[in-house]
Amino acid sequence: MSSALDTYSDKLKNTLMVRLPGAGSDAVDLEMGNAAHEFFLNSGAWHELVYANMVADRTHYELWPTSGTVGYICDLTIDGRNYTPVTANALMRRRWSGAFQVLTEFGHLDLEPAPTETKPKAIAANVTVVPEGCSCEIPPDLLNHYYEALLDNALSKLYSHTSKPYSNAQLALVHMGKYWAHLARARRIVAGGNVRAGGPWIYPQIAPGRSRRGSAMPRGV
Amino acid sequence: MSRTVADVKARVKSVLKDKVDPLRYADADIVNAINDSLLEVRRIRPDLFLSRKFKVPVLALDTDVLPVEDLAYNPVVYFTIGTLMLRDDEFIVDGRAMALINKATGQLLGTAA
Repeated sequence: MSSALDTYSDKLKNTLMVRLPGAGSDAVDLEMGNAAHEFFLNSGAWHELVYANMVADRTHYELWPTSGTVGYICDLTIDGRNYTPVTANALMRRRWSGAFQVLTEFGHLDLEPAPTETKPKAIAANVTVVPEGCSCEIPPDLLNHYYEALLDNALSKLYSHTSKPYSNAQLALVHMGKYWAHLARARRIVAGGNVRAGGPWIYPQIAPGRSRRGSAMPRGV
Repeated sequence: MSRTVADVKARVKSVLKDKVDPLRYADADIVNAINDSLLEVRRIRPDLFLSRKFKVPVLALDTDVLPVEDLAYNPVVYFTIGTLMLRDDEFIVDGRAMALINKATGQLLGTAA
């Protein structure tokens, strides 16, 4: 086969071009980018550990992943200690108890109170990454695993264009439905820590007792 | 390979059988018709001008490259010929001009025009 099929992004674009006769290459690139942005923003499937160094008297920090931008900050560790990110409202209601309170907002990090120690401390944030622009490099393993989700989402968006040779409202709905199924699966996988059947489970209703919920993941993971 | 104004002109002259002096259609008229065609393509299929931020350049030289993908090459040729044929001319049948313009529009909009 030709080298044009070497990567999954090439395969994705080639599949879209074949399925959408009359589509312009730039429009397909645009919708591929839109599809990837929507999928990774809503699923949180793309995680990255981002590091920053704490500086004395500096409260505001920006987190930059290797590629793309930060969607949400999931977990935060400062000098080996876990912190739970809080919102601005929660920060105002709670009183400072000696530890840092952490306010996060789309890749920005605010520490309250301002750090006073000059000794540098490492900030490690587990963030979800959202691709930015059409040329953003998405890790090949993610493209491989979520290929169908990206394909169905892009097809749905392209079929829903109006007054194009490839416009098809019915197929747009079909592929949107398939995309929602892929998105639900991706969320289950993320909730299970990328482990098969690792998500929270629940006994059926016929099982009595108060502790019907459980998790395949050991506590503390 | 990128297609140029010279390529479109050659196709247009071939279809119109206008290769021998005295020419019925001046080069400047053909270039103007090509520019009009690009505006029509931009109106019908703005997505083909995405990489140019939806701006349509004014072509002037034979070496100027058509600012659209290859899939819009034939529609540009048909639009150009149709536009030229709309001119008041004793050799031209209006029906053919409209047929070519409709064919170009169909190629840009239809599934198998």
